[in-house]
Amino acid sequence: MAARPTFSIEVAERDGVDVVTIGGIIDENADLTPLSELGVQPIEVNLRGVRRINSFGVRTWIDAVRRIAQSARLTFVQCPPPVVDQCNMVSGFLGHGALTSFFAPMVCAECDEQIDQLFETAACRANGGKLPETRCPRCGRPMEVDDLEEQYLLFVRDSR
Amino acid sequence: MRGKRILFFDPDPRARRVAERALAATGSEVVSAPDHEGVLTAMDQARWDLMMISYDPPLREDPRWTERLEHFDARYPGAKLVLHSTAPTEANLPLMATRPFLRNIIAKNDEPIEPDELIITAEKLLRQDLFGLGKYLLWGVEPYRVEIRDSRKKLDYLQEVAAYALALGCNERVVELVETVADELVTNAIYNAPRTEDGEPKYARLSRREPVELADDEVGTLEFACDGDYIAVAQIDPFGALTQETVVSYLNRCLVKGPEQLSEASGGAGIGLYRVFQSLSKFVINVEPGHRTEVICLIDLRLTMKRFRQQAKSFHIFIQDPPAKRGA
Repeated sequence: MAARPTFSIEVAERDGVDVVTIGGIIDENADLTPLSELGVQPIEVNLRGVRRINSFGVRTWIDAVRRIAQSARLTFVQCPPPVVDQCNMVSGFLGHGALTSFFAPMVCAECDEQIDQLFETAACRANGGKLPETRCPRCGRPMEVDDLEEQYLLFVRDSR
Repeated sequence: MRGKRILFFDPDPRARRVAERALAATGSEVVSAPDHEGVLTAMDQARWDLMMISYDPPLREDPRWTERLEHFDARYPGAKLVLHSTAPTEANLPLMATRPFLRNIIAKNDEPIEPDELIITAEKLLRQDLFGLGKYLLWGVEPYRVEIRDSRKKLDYLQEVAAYALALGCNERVVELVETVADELVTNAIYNAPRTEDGEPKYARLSRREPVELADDEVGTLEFACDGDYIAVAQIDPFGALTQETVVSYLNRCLVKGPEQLSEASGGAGIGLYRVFQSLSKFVINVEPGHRTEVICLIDLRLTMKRFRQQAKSFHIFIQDPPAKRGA
């Protein structure tokens, strides 16, 4: 089996926004200094590639996020299920930032198709704290989240 | 086990039938109380080696039961207690924090109760034969074993477990659960388990970024196996230092979302056990104090993630009786 990706972090500037792309595993080997040393211009952290966060990684992450200037607008985008789980379980995981988009694991009860679907947090909030309807790309029937929806979307309610 | 007496109670007659058959198969004498009045009477009318009792209403709310539970160890000396409950295990953890005699809670989900778990739990307690991952898997399953020696090789250890889960056809989220469990168990074996000759933690205060290579007599073992229904990951260390108080207090602290979740007292984050607990279906800890600890994590592969999240988790801490008590 090919080695599974460990940790990666890249910072780029786009239209006055610092865009940070993080992938792999956030653990004791993850160096989040490039994130914590950013200045006061808006920061967008793309977490799509994060596979897993271990307990020491949670501490490292919270320490890094706390060091980001409070005056910097901080958003987290394309958060995968392992990140959403941490947001829901661990206090202070997002620091002063906001999670604006995330993936939810969707499953079709009819044909068993499974996909990770991207949602906007604002759309869920507008939908009464629930996921907007998603149609199965294979059979067209409505899909459901393969998790406890209320629990998975705790962060939507908490961030009001 | 022959010569032993078990008192069982569950308000569901289907559960009672399952339990009567399963527990009788162990060779023990089994008395099944038909209702909560009956179990309260039976508790005091005879000497029991083991009581396996539903912790659901109506018994849960009965002050006579509460009084018996409160003073269980004094009132029923030598008897073991196992509760089974449909409530989320998290709801029962505070109970375990203040009652050291309460170490075993079997989760009751859709089915009346799993006979396998009843038999295994009863036999482990009555025979005091606690250790071994194999007890929880079908006969014939051979666990894979990896020696846990060096923190710098942790990714290699995890790679082996992940490769095993992927080869079984587990989806990405299950593989992530398995890796999460293995990651925290390996870290525990390297940093938290080892003791000095005085019994003090040897590496627990080190940052997890500090490399540690264990001496020959400190080396732990990571085991993993699958029987089709469950994937199991276990860690064994040669110290036996883990206590019920540590496990339950860590879990109780982490369950409340807030500033107290992360611990500043250790070189880790103090949430490793909690992350393990959130990633499994059954949690089994076997301890021979001062000699060895075995932490077994079982993930039910038959469930969708939604069902997995809904299900209560069984929680067992088995502590080896001292030799004198075992022979009694």
